[in-house]
Amino acid sequence: MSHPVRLLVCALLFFMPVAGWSAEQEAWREPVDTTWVVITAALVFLMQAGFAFLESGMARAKNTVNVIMKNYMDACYGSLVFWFVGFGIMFGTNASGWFGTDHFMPDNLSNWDYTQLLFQMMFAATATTIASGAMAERTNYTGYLVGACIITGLIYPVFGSWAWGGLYGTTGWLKEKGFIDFAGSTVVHSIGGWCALAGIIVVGPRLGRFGADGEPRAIPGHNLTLVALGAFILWFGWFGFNGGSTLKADASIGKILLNTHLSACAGAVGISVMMLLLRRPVLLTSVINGSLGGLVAVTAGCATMEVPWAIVTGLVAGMLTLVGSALMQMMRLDDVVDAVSVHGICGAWGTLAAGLFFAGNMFNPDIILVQIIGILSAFMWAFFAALLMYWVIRLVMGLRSDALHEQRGLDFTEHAELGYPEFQSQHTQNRSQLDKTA
Amino acid sequence: MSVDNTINHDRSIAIKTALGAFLDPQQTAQAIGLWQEKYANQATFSVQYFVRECCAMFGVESQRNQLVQSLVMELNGQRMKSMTKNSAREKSSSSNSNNDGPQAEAAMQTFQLLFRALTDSAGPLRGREISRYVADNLPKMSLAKDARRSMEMWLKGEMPLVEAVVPVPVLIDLVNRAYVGLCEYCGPVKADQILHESVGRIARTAAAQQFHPQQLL
Repeated sequence: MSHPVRLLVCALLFFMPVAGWSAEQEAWREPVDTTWVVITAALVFLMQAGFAFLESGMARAKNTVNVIMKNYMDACYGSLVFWFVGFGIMFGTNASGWFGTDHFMPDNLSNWDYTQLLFQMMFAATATTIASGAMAERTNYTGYLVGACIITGLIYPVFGSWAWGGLYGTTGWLKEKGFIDFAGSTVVHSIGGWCALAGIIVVGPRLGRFGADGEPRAIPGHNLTLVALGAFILWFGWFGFNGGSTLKADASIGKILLNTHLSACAGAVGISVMMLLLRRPVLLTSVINGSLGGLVAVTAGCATMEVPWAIVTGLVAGMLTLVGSALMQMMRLDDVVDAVSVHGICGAWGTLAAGLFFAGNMFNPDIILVQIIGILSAFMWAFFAALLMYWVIRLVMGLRSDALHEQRGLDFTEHAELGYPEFQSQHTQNRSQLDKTA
Repeated sequence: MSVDNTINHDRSIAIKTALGAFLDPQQTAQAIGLWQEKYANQATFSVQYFVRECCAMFGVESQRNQLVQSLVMELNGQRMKSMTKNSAREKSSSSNSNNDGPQAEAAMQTFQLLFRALTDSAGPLRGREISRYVADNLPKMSLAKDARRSMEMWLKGEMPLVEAVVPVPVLIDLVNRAYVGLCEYCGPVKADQILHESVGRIARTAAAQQFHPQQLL
């Protein structure tokens, strides 16, 4: 078959219902699915850029490079660690229902398994990078990366094995109970959010973030354009995140992506209406977090919800981002990008919503109970494991940057590079030290 | 003339000039005698006690503050002169003399200006709180006992910082403590602004020619 004809067949098969496929068409099934999943994996990888832009824009100019480096390198280290051990724990033979025991450093897999490995690797990187934004501007680079490796290699895949595991025989205990988390509101986002919560507790707030009487002091990000660009990229990448989770190129993708998009829109609308009602200014950063909250929340149920309920899910999530953010400030927890609120709390809400609004069986208490068990077990595992992990890192190698580093900026002290050398203050750093390094 | 004798001679001139405006020549001579007898070999901060004793002796308590200021200015002026002389001597002789002395003195000058600029920018009340916060942190720093005592008294506003020599890394630490204090009392955004403005201001002074304030960051 010539190349253009092959492409045409591929395109036609892409939009054909599965039931009507002939044997010849069936032979094209795997390549078409592979093409779809690989493209969506690339979209999920693009989300790393979204996180990097959003988080660095929310940080002060003196920490830009550090935030981007953490996002860049946790994807690199995390991918290697996930290949090394994470994939085996998450998807290896899961006899106990608690973790996989084979397929470490996987090699000689089938083509389809390689595709899955690639796609899941991108998910692992997403879960890991969530903590970087929350802990930005005062976390030691090396300590953070060690934490990122442990999240990718242990904390994320262990919970993943409970909810999604058993690709090579038997299955996870939560999956066995019928836990619904289509693309990872809990498995990816809440896990990342709870790790971030543990991280900010251990590392402490940035210098002066809270006054002596506990009143929070705003530390505005240095570039809202970057924040908005990052949010657009994340939104775009989310089409791959949720769309690719079908793991096949079928007709359900359209509705999944529609639910995803509408939930994000509803999240932004939800928070902006709430702010108007509260007579507070409608901030760009808050609206962006509202839409991201909507995206996180709908991730669990985008394949099993009807459109109006996806909108409700997003609307509530948007409002929750504001409530979550206020709650964090009340507890004097310094979350630079509101990651705990957006990923942790909205992830939990979305997982509950997936049970509440399950199409054809809405408000079924049995389903809701399983969802609650899943949400609580995710919190108990990820939060306490991460708390222990960051505490040990703090003891062994240090997690908090010292005050001089915070004064100079982590770009200067950790990387000897400045994000904006021409525009940043010439006065507040001893640039001669950089010249020596260059 | 030995180095010690030169220093004592210079200080005697400084005391004579400073006190001359407040005391008659006979009293000034008595004061110099008192200083040479009791205070010449004392730590720097003993200047405060010397002035107190002079005031009591000659009945000029009401002018004590002006007297201290005048004395400190003269002593600093003498020190700067001797620094310049020393550095000129070092350049011309090309001997292996220790260059740290004048450099450390210049660092101290710049440090004092920068620190005061930081605390003054925070306002009188907060400035005092920040100074007290830094003073509370002094025991954690690797400072000689004498220098620590001088620094503590200076931070508490009890006396000027005269002739105390503190290593540059400790000065960097002290400026950083002031920055931490600014963050805690004024907020991090304000702290960054104050640091930026203060360094810019000090960079335009004569002291920055010898030791740039960026070197304390």
